[in-house]
Amino acid sequence: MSNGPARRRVARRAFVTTGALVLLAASGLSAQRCIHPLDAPPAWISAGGARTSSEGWIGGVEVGRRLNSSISAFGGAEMTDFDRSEIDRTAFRLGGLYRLEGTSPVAACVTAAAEHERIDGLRVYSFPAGVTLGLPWTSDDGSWRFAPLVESRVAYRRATIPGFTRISQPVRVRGGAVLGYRQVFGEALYDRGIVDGRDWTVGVQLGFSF
Amino acid sequence: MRKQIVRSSVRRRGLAALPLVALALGACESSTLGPAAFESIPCELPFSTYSSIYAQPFQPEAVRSALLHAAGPMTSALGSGAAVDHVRTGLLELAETLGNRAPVECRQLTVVSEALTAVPTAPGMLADRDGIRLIIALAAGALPQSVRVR
Repeated sequence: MSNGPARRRVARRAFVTTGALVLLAASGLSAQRCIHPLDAPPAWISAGGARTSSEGWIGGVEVGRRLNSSISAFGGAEMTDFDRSEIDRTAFRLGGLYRLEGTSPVAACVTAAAEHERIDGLRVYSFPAGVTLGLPWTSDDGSWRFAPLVESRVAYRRATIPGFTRISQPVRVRGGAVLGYRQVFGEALYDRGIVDGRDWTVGVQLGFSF
Repeated sequence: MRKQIVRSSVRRRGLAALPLVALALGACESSTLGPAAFESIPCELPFSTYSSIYAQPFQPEAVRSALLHAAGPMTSALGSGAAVDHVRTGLLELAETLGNRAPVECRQLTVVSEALTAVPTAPGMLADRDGIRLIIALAAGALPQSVRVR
């Protein structure tokens, strides 16, 4: 029947969304987790959308939790819907972040994650690690906060199609800013590949702490 | 007490650097395959892959024997090396599966096409090389229009 692929597509989307929501300790390579204030509730959830240079729209959900003053865990899922193709890309991500302690006003974090991407017959496992630097500002009453951020990361990427496996080490950079009011926050970001891919992504995320 | 705190901090920073060390080690393992077939976007065959022929629509089975011949004696005439291995592996995969899953076959054809371009040229192998290129174009012609829009 012709509605088979459409039904599978809906089921896949439902699975991705549900999978993201049940992850207990999560959040993508989002700047939010690096500047998440220590006096704020420890967990957060966010959802966002982005446009890619490959003519696609990305939708994703991320969940994160601070485990102690230095370490947070994060995870998430996203799906890309391409303008000119019926094929979707799905991606899952789990990882952690270590917040470097210091007296400097700059927030610095080391991140590492494991990601799985799938787009039809292509399967990709990648293990990105990166450094995030942010300059957090908080209003006097503590209700508003703002932070511009930059992040660079390098990954071990293993992409497989039947008969072939390609291993590469892509490098990407990300710039953005987080604006938060009490428990609600928004983030705008620009992400670009600089080694092994020049694609870019522009997007926004909205979320809240709990 | 203070020494213990400093040691603990140093140890934790060392742990944080572990993923970077693992990445550096992983960098030692690299691939000779080009990136085009492995991008996380839907595959579209380059026009140059199939522009050399204009064929009426035909069933993928019709080109299977040609793919096997291309993977065997014709590829052997190209010599040896990683690029030749990629050509052979891709043609064999396509001979087995052509017509089953167009997006995957599009990526395999992209790999084969790129690898064939990378094979060093010698006068004695031109006929086989051009023959393989024509068979690749025929195989691309058996794929649906949706992957041939570039």
